[in-house]
Amino acid sequence: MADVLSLFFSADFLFVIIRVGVPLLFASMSAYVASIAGIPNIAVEGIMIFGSLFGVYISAITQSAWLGLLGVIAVGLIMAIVLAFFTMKMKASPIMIGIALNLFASDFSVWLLLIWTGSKGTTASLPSKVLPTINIPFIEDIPFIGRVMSGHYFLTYVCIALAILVYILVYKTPFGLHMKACGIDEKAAESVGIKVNRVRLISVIISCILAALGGAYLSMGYLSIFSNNMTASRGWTGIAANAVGQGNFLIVLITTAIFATAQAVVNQLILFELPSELINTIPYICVLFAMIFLSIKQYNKNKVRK
Amino acid sequence: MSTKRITNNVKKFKWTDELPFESLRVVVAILVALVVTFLVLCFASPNPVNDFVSLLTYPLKKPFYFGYVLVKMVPLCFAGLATLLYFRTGLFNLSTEGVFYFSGVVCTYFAVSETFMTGNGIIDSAICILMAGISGSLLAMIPGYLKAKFGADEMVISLMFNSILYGIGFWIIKNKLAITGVSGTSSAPFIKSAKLSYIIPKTQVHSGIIIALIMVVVVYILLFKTKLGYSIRMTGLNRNFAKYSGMSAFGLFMVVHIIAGFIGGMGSAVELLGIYDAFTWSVLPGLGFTGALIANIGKNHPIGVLLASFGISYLRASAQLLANSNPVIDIKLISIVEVILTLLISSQYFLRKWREKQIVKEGQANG
Amino acid sequence: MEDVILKLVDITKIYPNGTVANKGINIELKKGEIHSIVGENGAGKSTLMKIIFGIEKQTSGKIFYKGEEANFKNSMDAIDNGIGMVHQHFMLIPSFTVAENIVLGAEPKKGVFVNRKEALEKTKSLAVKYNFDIDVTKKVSDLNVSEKQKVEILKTLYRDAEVIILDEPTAVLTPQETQQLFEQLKHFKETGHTIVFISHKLNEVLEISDRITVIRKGETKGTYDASDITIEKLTELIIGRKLETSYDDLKKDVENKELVLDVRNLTVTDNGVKKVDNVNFSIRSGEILGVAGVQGNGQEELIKVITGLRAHQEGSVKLEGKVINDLTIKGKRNSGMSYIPEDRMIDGCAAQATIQDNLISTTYERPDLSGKLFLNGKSITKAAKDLVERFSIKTNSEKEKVSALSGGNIQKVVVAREWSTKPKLMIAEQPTRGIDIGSANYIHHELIDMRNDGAGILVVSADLNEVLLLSDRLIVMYDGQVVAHFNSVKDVTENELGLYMLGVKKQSEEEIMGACYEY
Repeated sequence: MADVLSLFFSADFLFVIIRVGVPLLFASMSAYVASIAGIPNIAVEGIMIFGSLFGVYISAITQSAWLGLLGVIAVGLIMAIVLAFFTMKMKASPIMIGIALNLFASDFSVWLLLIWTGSKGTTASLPSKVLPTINIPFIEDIPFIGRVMSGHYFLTYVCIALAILVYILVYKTPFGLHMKACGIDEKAAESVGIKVNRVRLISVIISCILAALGGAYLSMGYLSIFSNNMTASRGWTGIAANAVGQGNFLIVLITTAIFATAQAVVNQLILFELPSELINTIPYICVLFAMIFLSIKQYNKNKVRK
Repeated sequence: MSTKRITNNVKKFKWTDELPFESLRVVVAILVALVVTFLVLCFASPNPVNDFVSLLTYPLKKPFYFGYVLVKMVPLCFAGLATLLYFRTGLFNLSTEGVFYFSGVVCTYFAVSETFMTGNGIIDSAICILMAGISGSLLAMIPGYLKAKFGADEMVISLMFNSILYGIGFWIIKNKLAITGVSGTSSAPFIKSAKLSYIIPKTQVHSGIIIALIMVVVVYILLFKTKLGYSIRMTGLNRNFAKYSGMSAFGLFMVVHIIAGFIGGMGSAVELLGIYDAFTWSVLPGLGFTGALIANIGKNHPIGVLLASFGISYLRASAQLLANSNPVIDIKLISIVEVILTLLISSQYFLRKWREKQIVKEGQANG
Repeated sequence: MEDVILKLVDITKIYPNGTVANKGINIELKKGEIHSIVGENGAGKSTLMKIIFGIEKQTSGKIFYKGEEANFKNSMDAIDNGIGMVHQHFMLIPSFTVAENIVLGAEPKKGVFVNRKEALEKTKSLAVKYNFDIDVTKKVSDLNVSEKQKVEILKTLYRDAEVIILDEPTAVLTPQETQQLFEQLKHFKETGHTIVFISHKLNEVLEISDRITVIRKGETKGTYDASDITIEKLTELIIGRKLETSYDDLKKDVENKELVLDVRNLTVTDNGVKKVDNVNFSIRSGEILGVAGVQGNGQEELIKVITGLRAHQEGSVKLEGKVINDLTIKGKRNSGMSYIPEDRMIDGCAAQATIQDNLISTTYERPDLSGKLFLNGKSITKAAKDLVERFSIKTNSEKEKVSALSGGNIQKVVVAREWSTKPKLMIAEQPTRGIDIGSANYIHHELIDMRNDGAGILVVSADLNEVLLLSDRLIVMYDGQVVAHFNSVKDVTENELGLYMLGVKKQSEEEIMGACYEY
């Protein structure tokens, strides 16, 4: 028992939280950026799948992790254009489009896997590259903090930097004001000359690239291969975190951190002789309860109105 | 004046009218989807024309192959019908996936146990299907209650719920229902009498397809001929209007979840008892999303769902049969067709410009 | 003074569905004038404004702005050229502050960031310059209607608008607030702004305008100097016939009046704010009770609680002597209540369903229309056909979608359905908002027929004229309270009502309690 507790109160555990939290944070930010501009991005999960697959594939054929990363960004961009075209130009329900893209990504990626490797399981046979791990000078030497903060993957630091940028973009720039206006009342935004479609297109592009990067993190760092179903509902977890945040980025971040902690706990518990099928449901139960908590809170708030 | 009235009463067929136009949209969407599939094959296959043609015609070659299409259609049809009910009520619930998996576990619990089985084929299958249906209803009531009472976001909740049901279901199969000494994930074999019988010689087509067809009719009647169906449709089209008119959303949501869960659970048992000898699902069946696509492609109409599940299953079955001999064809390839159909059919503006032009032309022709 | 700033030549607009909204419109706007554009709902005023503002593109015709041909590509283009518009439905973001709303789309910047300090200073000094008494740091959701309108006007001024278009600006204001607005408009005229004033309230139009252009069925019926034209002449030009000024001839005396609705001490609290504050009134059969008041003074909440769309809190509501406080909506309807809702597209219909399906939503459980489980298709179709005919709803078939109907016909569908339950109590909220005069007239007649047949009717309307026309008795609501009751509307003037609506005057407790019948 003392072993278990010591596992949870160590620098290593905080390190693990960051490690498992990064893809969730990418997903949460992806959902957040699109939803505040008024286009809910339900396809986060699917875009993550494509991001992780193409990162591996492109890095394998070019033999460069950086070109792989570039390819991932391109994949995000393409998905953004599909999503934006159908929701904005063709007036399709973003939810249906999201559902379709998710199913497409999870199935078509398997077909691509088959074509490229001859197997439907993983890309283990592809000589893919991973992005580097970074030790931050000075900080790595600080006793506790160094062990928590240093030595993560390249994309971990990109993710943290992007989180700061997203905050600034949304809360400090005119564009952020425009995003929120488009999300709350597109007619009002249009009436003051805001180009609603352009704002939304850019937001969707940012959102999809964030999701694709989240996928790349999984296959070009966290693991060094793509495997079938490797995103494991992380995209949906991000969407849930965004829902709990209700437009407030800081709450989205906190919720994501809670989900990450749940995942980290699972990663530790799995080391013990416990039924893994049941342990693996803990993060989902955690998200489920967060959503229930949120809706009960809203229900009580709206009770008198009903 | 009188002649004018007569010409007005004789309705001329026009592609721009609602039903022909919608059918035209679907046909064009199918053509686009097939063309894109062909283009993708051009990249991957050394012999794309040949592959494409066999993809389109393979199931027609042998009765067994065509039978396989019908067999694959059954679960799609059940999932489509269950999801259709959610969509018609205005609910984006994808819990059919988890319900399907877990109800399969419940079905297995009864189908492997001598204590519950009487030996009579019809009674035994009926017990298993009924129990799976009931478990489906009970499971669907959980997200249903959260939605009906608190207005919780049913999509995220149903997806989390799926993963949780999968974890628990898988654990039960491995620890409670598995036979000792066999590696891999499998329950004990089903008792013979529980299994559904084959109904067409030389094929795997089992009596489940009859149950599926009956369910299509049942859902059609439910939706368009009953009071409950009327309130489902009105609630789905405008929830405020339904509430204002005096319909209770809470009761309706609960009933819809119970019925949809029952259909999902039934579908699971029918699938298991139709073509499996034991429970061997080690991953989620993916029927939540597929059901959503089928319902969408079928325009949320039971007959549409039947046609859509046949069409998708035709291609899926063809691809799966070809996969044994052809390295570039796989069932997952059909996701291209599925995604393009869904994208185009759910696009309100798809072909709208064309329709407007035709209407303007007509207007000019008539003065 | 005589410079023409904006000139419309032969503007025609045909929508893709074939609707002709404007047909050869010609208007000249002079710099520094207040120019009214009047016409019925649906006459084509809004479309015309959208064309000027670059939201819609004309099918043919030309626009000249400051002497040059101008075709604004979008609203931004129009704004950049000095045209501002105050929309009838406010274009404000409720969760933003006043300052944020004013600068939105043209924010002062510091590098790539929004310069919040400058935004505050600029908007504050703008408010001071034009005499607007408003706190720019407040959230817009905390403002009242007239303050919101001020924010809209400030938005146009912030962008240096020279031409300001106001679309039905007084529809939501009290007479006193309207006067205040007019003072401001006159001030703008002095500073060289050109005002386009769109309205159908003719006395206001005559009071404020220099010139008036009349539009009927998409065509201009001439431009007149306000000093040269009378209200009667204008009315004739607008509708081509005389407006009904009284329904007294239609109203019949109803015998054996009985108490239908009795509301006592009704209070609704929302987040600690009393939206409805101790309201008392009653309605007898064969009588129309009107509720006047500026929107947002508790009428909506009052109706929602009575109809069951909102949970009951305090007080009691009796229908024919039976307490119905906690009945469900269905229960209330079954007790004999009908309800024409404020917004037909939100609550009143399912636009994508057929007319038939919309006509039976409150009656489909009646024994003649359905059994225990199944609907009776044949009798439903017959019932729907009868209603379509009875209410002359213009359609080819009752199987068509409601979305294919005009606003007036959709409202007739709503009224027909609510009529078909033969209610003892009919609650009509904004029964003719935004529909053509023909349909409005028709609906008024139907309401009076129902009254003559012995129903009790509660009419809530933002249109004072409508309330005065229909009501037998009248109450006025201000800040959640009933502040006045009139046993007859014969001698009540709009101005007097205005004083009560603004809360300047309040009757004595005794007079107000006159709204209740004791028995």
